[in-house]
Amino acid sequence: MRKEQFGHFLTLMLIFIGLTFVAFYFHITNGAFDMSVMDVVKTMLRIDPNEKHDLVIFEFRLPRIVIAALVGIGLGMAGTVIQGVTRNGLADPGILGINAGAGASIVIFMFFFQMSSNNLTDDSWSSILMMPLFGFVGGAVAAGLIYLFSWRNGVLDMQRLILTGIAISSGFGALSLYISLKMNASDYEMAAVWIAGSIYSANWSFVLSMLPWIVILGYVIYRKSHLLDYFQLEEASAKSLGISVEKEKSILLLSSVGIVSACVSVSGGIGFIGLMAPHIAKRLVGIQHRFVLPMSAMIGMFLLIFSDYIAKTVFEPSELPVGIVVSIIGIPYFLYLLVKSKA
Amino acid sequence: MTMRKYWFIGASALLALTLAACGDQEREATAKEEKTEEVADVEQEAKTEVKEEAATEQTITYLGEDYVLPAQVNNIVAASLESMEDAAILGVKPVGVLEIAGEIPGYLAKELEGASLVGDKFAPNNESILALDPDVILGSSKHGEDVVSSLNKIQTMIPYSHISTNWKENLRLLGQLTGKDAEAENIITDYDAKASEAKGKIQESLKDKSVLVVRIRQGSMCVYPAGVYLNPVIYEDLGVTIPEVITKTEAQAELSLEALAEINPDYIFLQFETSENTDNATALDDLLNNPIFKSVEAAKNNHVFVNAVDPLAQGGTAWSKVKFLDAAIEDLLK
Amino acid sequence: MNKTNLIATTILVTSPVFIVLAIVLSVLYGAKDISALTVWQAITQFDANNVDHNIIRTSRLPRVIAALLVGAFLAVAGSVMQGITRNYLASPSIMGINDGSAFVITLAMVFFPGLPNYQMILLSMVGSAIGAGLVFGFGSLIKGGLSPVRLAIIGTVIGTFLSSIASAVAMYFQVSQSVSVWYNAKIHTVNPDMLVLSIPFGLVGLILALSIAKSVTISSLGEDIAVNLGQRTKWVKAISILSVVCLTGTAVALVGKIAFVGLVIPHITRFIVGVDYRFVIPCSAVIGAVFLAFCDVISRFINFPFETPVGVVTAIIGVPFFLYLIRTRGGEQRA
Repeated sequence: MRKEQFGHFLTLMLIFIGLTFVAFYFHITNGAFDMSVMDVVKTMLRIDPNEKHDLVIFEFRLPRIVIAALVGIGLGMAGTVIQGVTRNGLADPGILGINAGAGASIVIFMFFFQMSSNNLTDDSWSSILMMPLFGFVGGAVAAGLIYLFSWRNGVLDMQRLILTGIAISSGFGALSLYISLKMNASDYEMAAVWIAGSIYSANWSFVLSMLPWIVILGYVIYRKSHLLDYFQLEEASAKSLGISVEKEKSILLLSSVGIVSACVSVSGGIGFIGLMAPHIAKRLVGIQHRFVLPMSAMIGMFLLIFSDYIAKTVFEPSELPVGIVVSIIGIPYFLYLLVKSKA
Repeated sequence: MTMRKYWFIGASALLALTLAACGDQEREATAKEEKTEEVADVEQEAKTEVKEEAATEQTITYLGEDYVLPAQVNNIVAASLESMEDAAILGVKPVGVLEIAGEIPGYLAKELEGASLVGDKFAPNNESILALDPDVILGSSKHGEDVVSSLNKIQTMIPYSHISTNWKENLRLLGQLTGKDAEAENIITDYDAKASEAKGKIQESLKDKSVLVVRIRQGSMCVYPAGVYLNPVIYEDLGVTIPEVITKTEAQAELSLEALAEINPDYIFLQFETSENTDNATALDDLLNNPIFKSVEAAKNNHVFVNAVDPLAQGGTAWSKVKFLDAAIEDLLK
Repeated sequence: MNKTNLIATTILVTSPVFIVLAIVLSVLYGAKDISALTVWQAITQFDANNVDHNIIRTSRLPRVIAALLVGAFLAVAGSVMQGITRNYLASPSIMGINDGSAFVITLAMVFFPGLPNYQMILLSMVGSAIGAGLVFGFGSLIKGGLSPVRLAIIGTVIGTFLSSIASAVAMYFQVSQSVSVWYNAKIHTVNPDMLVLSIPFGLVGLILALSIAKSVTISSLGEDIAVNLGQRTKWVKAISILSVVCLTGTAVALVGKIAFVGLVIPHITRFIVGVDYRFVIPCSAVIGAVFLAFCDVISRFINFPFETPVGVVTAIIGVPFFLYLIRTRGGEQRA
């Protein structure tokens, strides 16, 4: 039985790896620069490389795909953890206001940094690395507020959680709006694009700035993923198993806040991946988080690479923010899943 | 077990399909590629010949920074509306320009005809720029770090200043790049002469009068600091007194009709972005017919000038300044 | 019961005072200094050639009236929704109704530019109806979909979906410049003609809401009780939906999407006057109206003499208050 389940999980993983590969294939072989598939393959395998092809593949297309993959993995995992910890299949970092919190503090950061950047442009590096940290502060503040207000009798109260989330996300949203109005016009426009969620200008330094967050916190979460199963039980029975429930919950939640902040700092507010990926994953591999977590990460990655491919091609050479694409293709499927689950 | 087998078959079928798809596309693509390569080769040869005669590189100094470019600049990609305007006034034909709604911006369409589109101003498309094989990219000082670094990987990117006070440097730069130094100098001297000639008259006739440039964006009236947008033409070059509200403005600030009435300017230049507003006709009329607006000094004396230059004009470029100066002198001395 | 009656009556009786206060404040203070005397003259002996008179008549008065109306409309729409669905999260902005309106308006601006005002209002209502239809349709298709949290999430999801399509369309046709007006609510640019046109639509919505107030109270006790008490629940639901669509559609057409008023005000109102909707509906109208009018006054002074979007102010005031409510009242079902 156990083995069979594992096999089932493995095949599904393989299928999604295949699908991701297909999305990757389309993404890397298509673009405004005309390049044949053969050229792409040759460039990747370093067979008589050509400067321009290198530039297209290694500086433009690959970092973008890698960012999409990392953000997808991150949001997929964070969504799973948040749904597991809150025991609510419909929770999502966006709905809980964590995105908005991280977003507001990054807008604040952009505001102050842009102010001073006119005379010191060489600092771009440190600024790129600082963004996730700032995002984390904002995300953590949001998460802290949510905890503070939805904590009742030593447990997280679901209704309060959602209410607080809505309040916090509109509060932080208003804050971002207010600050972005104080920016000069061009920064404001950039902030608007960024808030809509976009990864068109991805480069390797972004990858570098978010990779540690994803790897380290992702590892922490994966190690603790079995705990999520216990959280689905009654609080008391989890305690009786000798788990310090609230401490573990906090660790898991903070880790996912960290991951979400890192994602938000490079890609802006891409919603719904964190909601959909775990859902689809659970439908496919059951409720054991040992399976759900990697599956959800995988699905998140696939969805985001695919959406970004669409985002860059529909209005070529102009870009559509990928967050918009994710909502448009993801939401109908999500609703379909919800309706189907009635049966 | 059968379930598992089934999945495997499905997966492998999928893989096979992808591979088949790859194959097909490859053949088509290589055919295409060969053709383009031939053309490219010819071009390449032509270029290298030219290069051999002169030095292969040149250093351009712009606003205190040095930029290294190929000695012969043929392909210019104008990845900012500012550089596009200057290209238009100088008669330079960039190979690539930004698009608005999938086309070359209407007011420059004639001058820039034939250029390829390289995305919109937020996200110039790296790949389409690369495909044009540029010798220099004229970006914007508004571009963020990430855009700057990607563009620089393609070719030296000069961040074309969006600050109005740098307009002469901008124009000289473009002149230098394209061997049109003389034309650029002519435009500048003409402008200065015109402005200083008008300045005396305007300072005399517009003594104690206030002039305001208002840009309608997102349905609201926006004003800018004295050094931004079209303002320097009025306040610096033509020497009109700067109204108090402008000194208070930090970046782009939104005025209510009421605030406008409080300022009560004697002259208003109203820039209304027609091509970006679909409901423009009524919105503009609404404003012009609004009793408050009508009771402002400028409106009473028929001193409201709608779109004295094309509303898409960026304001701080030679193109905008030259056109706006003419319009402003004419309107203000009417 | 008597005590809450008393409070509610007090609110309703004293409401003219607050409304007048809001109007006076908002008419007296603005970017331009206008003396109280001039204001009075503007109303009593209007002089079309006087700038100040014009400001009072065509800017400040319409502005405060719009704020009062929109505040009342949204608050009542929220109250009705919360009562009928027994869902403490129901509100026009969360249930995707605002987004529905904005969506249809965006499409109309792109494909049929220059539509007359009254058609915009009608279209905006159609949009509200689409938004509400989608959200409640899915809510009833999905198991437990009408539960507060689930419905809120379905609403948010569908709202995001509609606004994503709207922004993709807007971006493609580059009308984002003008369309974003509908996202950033702006009371100060309200069009007086539109205001006059919208009053009848809004009033219909208000009257409908008041006419079913008693039934809403019964519905809020539960479907079974309502049926047992002989209530024709289908009728009540139909009328309430019609009322919400009228109210929200008009509000969005007038000033754009304003969040929070429709969610927070009904909560505050029930907190003060209890759960009898015969009192909740009129009181929430008053409180919503006064709240939004005050927010609008504040929005003029945050960045004086420039304008700040009123949504920023409603959020700054609304969020802490809402959090306080959650903290003290526990956010339990109190609809």
